[in-house]
Amino acid sequence: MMGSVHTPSSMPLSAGRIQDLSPVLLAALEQTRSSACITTADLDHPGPTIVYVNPAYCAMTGRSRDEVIGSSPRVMQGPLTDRSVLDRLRRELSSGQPFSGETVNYRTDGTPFLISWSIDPVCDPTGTVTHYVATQEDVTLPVRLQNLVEATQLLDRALTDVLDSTLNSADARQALVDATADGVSKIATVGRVGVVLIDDGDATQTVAGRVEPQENTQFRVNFGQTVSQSRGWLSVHGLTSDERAFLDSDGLKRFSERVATVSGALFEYQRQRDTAIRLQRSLLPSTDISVPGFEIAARYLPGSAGLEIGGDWYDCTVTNGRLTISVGDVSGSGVDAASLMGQLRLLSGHELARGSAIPDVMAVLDAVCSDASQMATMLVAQIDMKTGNTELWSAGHLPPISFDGREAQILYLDVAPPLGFLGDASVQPNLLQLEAGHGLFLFTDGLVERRTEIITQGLERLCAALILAEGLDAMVRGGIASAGDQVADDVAIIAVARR
Amino acid sequence: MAAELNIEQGANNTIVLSGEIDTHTSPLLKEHLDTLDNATCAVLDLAAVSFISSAGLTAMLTAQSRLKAAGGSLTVQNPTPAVERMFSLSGLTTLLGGSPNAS
Repeated sequence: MMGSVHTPSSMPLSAGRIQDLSPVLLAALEQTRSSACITTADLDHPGPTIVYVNPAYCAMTGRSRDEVIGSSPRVMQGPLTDRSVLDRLRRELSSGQPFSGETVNYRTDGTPFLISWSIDPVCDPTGTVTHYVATQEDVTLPVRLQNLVEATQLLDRALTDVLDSTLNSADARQALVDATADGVSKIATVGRVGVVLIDDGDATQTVAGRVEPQENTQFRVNFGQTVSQSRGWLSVHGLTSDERAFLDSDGLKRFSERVATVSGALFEYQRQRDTAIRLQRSLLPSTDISVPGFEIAARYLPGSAGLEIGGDWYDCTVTNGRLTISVGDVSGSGVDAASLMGQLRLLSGHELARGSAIPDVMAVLDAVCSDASQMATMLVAQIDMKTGNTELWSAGHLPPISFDGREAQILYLDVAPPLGFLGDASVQPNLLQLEAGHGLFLFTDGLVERRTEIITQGLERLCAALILAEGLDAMVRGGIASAGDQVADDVAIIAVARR
Repeated sequence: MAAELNIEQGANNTIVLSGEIDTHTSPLLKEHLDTLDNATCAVLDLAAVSFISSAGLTAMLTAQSRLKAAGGSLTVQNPTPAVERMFSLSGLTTLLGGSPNAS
C-alpha cells in the first residue's frame, strides 16, 4: 500500500482511488506510535523547514507541534550529534538517494537520546522532489543493551587473552584496564573515558585512555584484593557533562561489578602464579655452585603459560669424592607439584649424604611419588671427581647431552620407568668417562618439547645450539634461546664440565 | 593454540584417542579412565594421537596401576612415531606394551 503513494495513477485500487483515502491516511499518521516528520526539500541553510510532525514525534522529542513547525530539524541537534552522519545525510539526499542513520538528538529539556531515522524524498507527479518524509525511532534502550553486552564480552575476552598469554603482572593489569576503558566508553555510547587503576598495596597506577584530573572521577570500582594482595580501586574519568548525561548508569553499575569480578579472577591467578614461582625458587639450590675441578651452571625458568610452574628441579651435591648432579620433573604444575618436588629433592640429598646408591635413592623417591599418586622423572649423573668415571641413571627422563667443546650429542640411555611407577623395574647405570674439557648438559622437557614435532627434533635443535656456545653459561643461555620465546612449561637445567 | 583430545569408547574395551594429550587435555583422559571398572583389560588406541606430554603419561600410568592391582590391565596400541618416541625415552615401552603402528 505504501509503495503506491509514489505512483498514484499507475495502481488501480479495488477499494477506490487512493485520494479517497486521504482522511484515513492522515488519521493513521496522526495516531500511529511511529514518529514521522515532513520537511520542505530545500537542504541549504536555513532550510529545510518542518511542515508536519505527528503526535508520536512530539512525544519522542518533548517538543510541541507549535514549537517545531516552521523551524529546522537542526533544532534537534547538539554537541553530541555526529557531524559525519549529517554530512552523509546531506550528500545522499542531494543526489536523490534515501538516507538512514543513527545519531544523538536532544529533547526540548536538553536530554540527549539516540535516534535511528530514515528519510525519503517525496516527489510530485513530474518527479520533482518537493518534500522529505522522515521516520524516527528512539533506539537509546536497545543500543544501550547491545553496548553493555559488547562491553562485557570485550572484558571477558581480555581476561581470557591475559590468562592465555605470557604477560607479566604489569602488562596483564594494563590489558585489563585498557579493556575496561573500552568497555566503559562503549557503555557511554558517546565520548571516550579514561581509566585509572590504583593498587594501594604496591602504590602503582595503571592508566588507560584520556585521563582527566581525578576530582573529575565519574565512578569508582573497589577491589578487595589486588596483585599486591591489598586494596585497590579503579576510577573512570573524562566524560563531558553532556556525555555524562547520556551515560547508562545502571549498565555502568553492572559492568563495574563485572570489572571487579574479572579483576579479582586475574589477581587471584597472578597471586597463585607468584606464590608458585616463589615457592619453586625457594626449594631449589642457589645457581652459584662451586666445586673444585668442575665448572657448573644451573638455571630454573618458570613456564610462561599461566600456572604451569613448579615441579622441575636441578640439584648438585658432593659426597665421598663424588659429584652428583640431577634434574627432575614432577608431572603437573602449581603449588602441589612444587611442594612434592621439594620433598623429592630434600630426600635425595639426605639419601646421598647417607651414602645410598642411586637405585636405592630412586626407590625411596618412587615410594613417595607412588604414595602421592604422582609421577616424576629424574636423571642423575654421578661423577668420580678424581677419575672422571661417570654413572648416569634415568627414571623416565629425557637423555642428557654430552659435549666436548667441538661437538654435542644426545646421550641415549637405558631408561627405567618414571618415579611413582618404578615398581620392581631395575634401574641400570649407564657408564661414561668424563675427560677434562668434556661435559654433560641435563635439562627438563620444557626446553625441547614442541607439540608439532617428534621429541628428537627438539633434542637435535638443542644440540645444535649447544655446539655454538662457548662456556657453560653461554650454553645455558643458548639452550634457552633455542627453545624460542614461548617456553610454556617450566625448565630446569644443570650443566657440568670437567676442567 | 589450545589442544584437543577426542575419546571414543570402541568395541572390546578399546578406547580410541585422537588429538593431543597434554596438560590441558589429560584431565579428560583421566576422567574417562577413572570410569573403567577395576578388572577391565583396556586398550588405548593411539593411532591418531600426535603428541603426548608427561601429564598424559601420568594419566595412563595411574589408571594402569589401579587396573593392574585389581587384576585388569591397560595397554596401548598403534602409537604414532612421535608418541612411540616419548614412550621409549620415558622407559615405558615395556610397561605400556605399545605395539608399533602397523601402517
